[in-house]
Amino acid sequence: MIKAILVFNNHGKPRLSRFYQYYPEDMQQQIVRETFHLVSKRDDNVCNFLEGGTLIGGSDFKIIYRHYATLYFVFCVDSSESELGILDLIQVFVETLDKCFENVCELDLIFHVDKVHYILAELVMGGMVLETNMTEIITRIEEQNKLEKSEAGIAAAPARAVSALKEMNIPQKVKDMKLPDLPSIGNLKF
Amino acid sequence: MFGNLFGKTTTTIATGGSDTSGDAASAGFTTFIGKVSRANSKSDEAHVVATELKNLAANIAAPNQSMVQMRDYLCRVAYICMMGYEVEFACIHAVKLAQLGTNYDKRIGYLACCLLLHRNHDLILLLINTIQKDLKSSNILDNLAAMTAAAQLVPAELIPSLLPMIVAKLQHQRELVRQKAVLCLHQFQFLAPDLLAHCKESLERALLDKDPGVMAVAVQLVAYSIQRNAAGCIHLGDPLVSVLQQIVARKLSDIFNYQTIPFPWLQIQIIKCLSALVPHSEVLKTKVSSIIRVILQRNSIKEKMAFAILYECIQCIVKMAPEKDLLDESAQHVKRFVNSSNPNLQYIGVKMLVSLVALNPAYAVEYQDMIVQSLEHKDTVIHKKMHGVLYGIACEANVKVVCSKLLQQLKISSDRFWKAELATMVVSLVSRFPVEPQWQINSLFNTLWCSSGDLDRTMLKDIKQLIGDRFLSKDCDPQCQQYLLQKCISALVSDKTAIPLLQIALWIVGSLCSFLKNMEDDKVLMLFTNLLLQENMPFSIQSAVITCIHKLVAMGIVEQVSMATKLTECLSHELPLVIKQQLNIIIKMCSLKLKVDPSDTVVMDLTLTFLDDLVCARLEAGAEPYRPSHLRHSLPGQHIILTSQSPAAPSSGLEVEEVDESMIGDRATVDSSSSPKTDTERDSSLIQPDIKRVWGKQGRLDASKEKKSTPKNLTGQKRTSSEQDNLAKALFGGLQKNEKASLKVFTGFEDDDQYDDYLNNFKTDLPGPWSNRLRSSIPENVNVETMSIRNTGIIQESFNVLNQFAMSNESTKTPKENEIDYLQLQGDINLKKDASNENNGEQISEGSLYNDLNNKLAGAEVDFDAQLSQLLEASVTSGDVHCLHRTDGFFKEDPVSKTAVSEIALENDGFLDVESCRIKHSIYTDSD
Repeated sequence: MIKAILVFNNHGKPRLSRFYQYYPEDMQQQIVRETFHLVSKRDDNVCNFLEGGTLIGGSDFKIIYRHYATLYFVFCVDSSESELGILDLIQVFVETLDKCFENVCELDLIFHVDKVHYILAELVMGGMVLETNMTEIITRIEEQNKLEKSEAGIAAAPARAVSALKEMNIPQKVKDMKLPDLPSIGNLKF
Repeated sequence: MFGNLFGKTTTTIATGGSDTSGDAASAGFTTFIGKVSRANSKSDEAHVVATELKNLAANIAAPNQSMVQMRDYLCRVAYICMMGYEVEFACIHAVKLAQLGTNYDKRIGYLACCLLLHRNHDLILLLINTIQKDLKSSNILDNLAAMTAAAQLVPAELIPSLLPMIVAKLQHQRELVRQKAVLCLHQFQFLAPDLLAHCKESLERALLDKDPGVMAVAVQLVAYSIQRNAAGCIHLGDPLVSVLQQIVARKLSDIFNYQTIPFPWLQIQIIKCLSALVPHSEVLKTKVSSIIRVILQRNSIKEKMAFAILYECIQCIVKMAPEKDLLDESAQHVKRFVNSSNPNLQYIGVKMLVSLVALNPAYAVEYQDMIVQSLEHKDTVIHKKMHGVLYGIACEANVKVVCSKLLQQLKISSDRFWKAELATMVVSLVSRFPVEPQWQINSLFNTLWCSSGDLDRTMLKDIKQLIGDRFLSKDCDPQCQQYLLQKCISALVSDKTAIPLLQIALWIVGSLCSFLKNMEDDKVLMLFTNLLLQENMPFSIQSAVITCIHKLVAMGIVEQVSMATKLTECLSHELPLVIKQQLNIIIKMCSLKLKVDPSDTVVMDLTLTFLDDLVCARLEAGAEPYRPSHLRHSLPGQHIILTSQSPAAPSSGLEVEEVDESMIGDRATVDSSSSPKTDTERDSSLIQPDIKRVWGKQGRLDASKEKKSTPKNLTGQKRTSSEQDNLAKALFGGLQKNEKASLKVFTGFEDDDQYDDYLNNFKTDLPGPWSNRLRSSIPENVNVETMSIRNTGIIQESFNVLNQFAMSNESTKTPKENEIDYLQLQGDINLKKDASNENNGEQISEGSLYNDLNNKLAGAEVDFDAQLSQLLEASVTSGDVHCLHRTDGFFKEDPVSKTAVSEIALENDGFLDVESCRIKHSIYTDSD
């Protein structure tokens, strides 16, 4: 399970923090500080994993981070997550941000707190990986933006009409055509 | 990416620089951010934030705010919250926005709720309605937002109110909704696994969803069930294998490829699940091993993601404990990791090596050089992991080197968890490879030196047990024991020793104190008294010191006069009452020149049976039955000589010392007819808890009368089995309420049958079930002391009750107060004897109100030299028993379960002897 996702800059200023397990406010700040302290000490040519020894979960706890120019992306996870998997998940997250914000920079994270969180919400939900496919995530975000814009215009329209409109979206139709081919699985009984 | 911090200027962002991001940040937000980033210090920043928060609080609460403004405010609040400032005032507005807003506003509202609230927040109750409404909505965006919030915020007790709606969403036509519903249920399952038992089937059906995305999250959900109960999830193995087969055969859509690998995260997840399942099913094992072979073959190791899958495969192989060829193949793959130039892969490689080496140390041979190099690796993480490999390859031949490496790390490391891990490794190596005893002792001591503050209880217990088994039993090499003792003494002398090490060292010194004979008395004494008087010493250490001194005296290691003077000096220092009390006892013991043969086995006499004969003899000779001191005041008609002693009566713990002084000059006298039973007799009384009452009001009871009494009881008092259970309640409840009834008890039971029941109840069920029953039945604040009746055994039991009582109800009396009560009770024992002595015209000892068995024996010694040795033995026996009872009370301050008494005893062996711990343990296990 992913316990927390933190983004801070080279000076340790938090740019995004999302905790999937509850910690009191001051504890959260302490976690951010301690994580920054641990991560910033490390060279670029050492591995991107750190183990145990911190506030969040003791020995059953790993920090997996990536450093991009001015920002550190840190995922705090428990031992059930695959290190290399998470490392690539960070890459997916950053690439998605980059696509959505068109060449993302630190300021985007500051001024579009909400959008960044929405993107993250498509990637990870409740500490579990929700979607790992970048194109899919982007499609969803765009789809939602579009729906919102269109709905804002016809907010007074009956709900059924609105949902009919939603069903008409093309990328989804395309996707439905590529359904997985799982013939054998259908016959299984539980 | 993020190449240029100011790649976009603030202005472009403020005016909506990027199209995708929709609404732009407001001017107010921009200025605020500008101010914060210009702040030079933390206090500057705090000032800026405080002003902003003040404005926000005013604005946000103002009526008629537009939704757009509200959104802006909440975004600012979320940002400030992330910076670590208190924003409690905005929570209610976040909830409100989620409730009242539509579409985009609603999403911001939910987002703010997710960021500002948590599961146990008061406002969640308000939000639940909104979530329910939005789940019912036909707008899927509302559905999605509501489910995201539900997954993050709903506490376990509110899950039932949402569960049916979310389960229904599993059938939704949009895969995105299904996906979120599955994850939401996953969270619920995490919080309250039992609630979801009925919809298990629909959850598992999600595994077969036509959308691979939904299937992927369903695997995560299944993974959780497997993690909780692998054996119960065997039926999931087949579907998982078939999904994996299709992924590997690339039968699924290409859009789920990442770096040309199909569904890498899903593959990882499935392999993880399977590796948890394989140990439970042989059939599955063959299937899994064949598919793993395929994956190993197909995997083109070009992408990093492929390494991630490979890693999972190898973990799975290791778990399967499979055929040699598969292991060898994985060893080949490990080589690629370990020799990689990428530090991440190196790390994973070392991790794999750790698990491989655990199966077969031979796999490490190839990496000899590499392992040695890695021990100097610049990356501390890899460096640490390598110690795991070292641990894995340890054998008889190299264990010393391995241990020294581990200890070296232990010395320089400051990470608590890492130290604990290292210590575990060292201890396990020492226990696995018992090579040289000196090396073993050194390793264990070094471990304790470096890390004893960081170790948990079980670890310390393991170390103690190891030392106990290896070095403290009778047939151990005395040279080793001497060496061990030296180590301990050096630990005791040093002022840097951590508390757990001190405790262990004291325990060892206590066990090996016969070796201290070679040391000068002064030095030995200094060793202990220094520790005792050291400032801020915890009670556990002080009591451990006392135990040691007890042993020194009992075994005559130290010259007793010098011991007494030294300890008397200690009394003038500030020490806990209990410790002072113990010191007094020891001083008394010294003055009596008592000595115990260490070869004697210690037997516990719970009921003080050795006094029975004495008491009976006295009573037969016409002595007054015993009455507790406070009763003697209230019965003016009686012949009360002892009342004159009342000023010295220890009515409160504070007076104990005073009393003690008056006692020292006096000598309690005990009748010679008190004939102690032999060891065997006492043994049998221990084993057989149903001890018969030996004497009554009129003297010794005969067996026939006792037999008669039982049926009479049954008819006369209409005792049913449930009444029997409530007997204690009836007895003691009455004690509290009814003066008359209590008098009855004080003066002895009116009829003997009642007394018999009382006694039997004590004996038969003690200490486990009976005390439980008593505990539940005694009303609060009952003065248990009043139960101290005629028989010394009962007094003993009363103290048991007292202690049990303190355990169950700490508000009425702390163990410490109990200790004082106990002393009073003991005083009463002596009074009883004094009373009987008095009636025989013998000398009454004035100061006997303060008492201890040692003290009584002191009297015995003077008068009856012949029986001294036997009595003494009894004193040691019962002395131990008292210690047990006392420590009992102290244990309760630790929240440790009663069943683990033996463990507690070992840890807190303040007053305890290992021997008595064992007895105690056996008693508890017998009665339970």
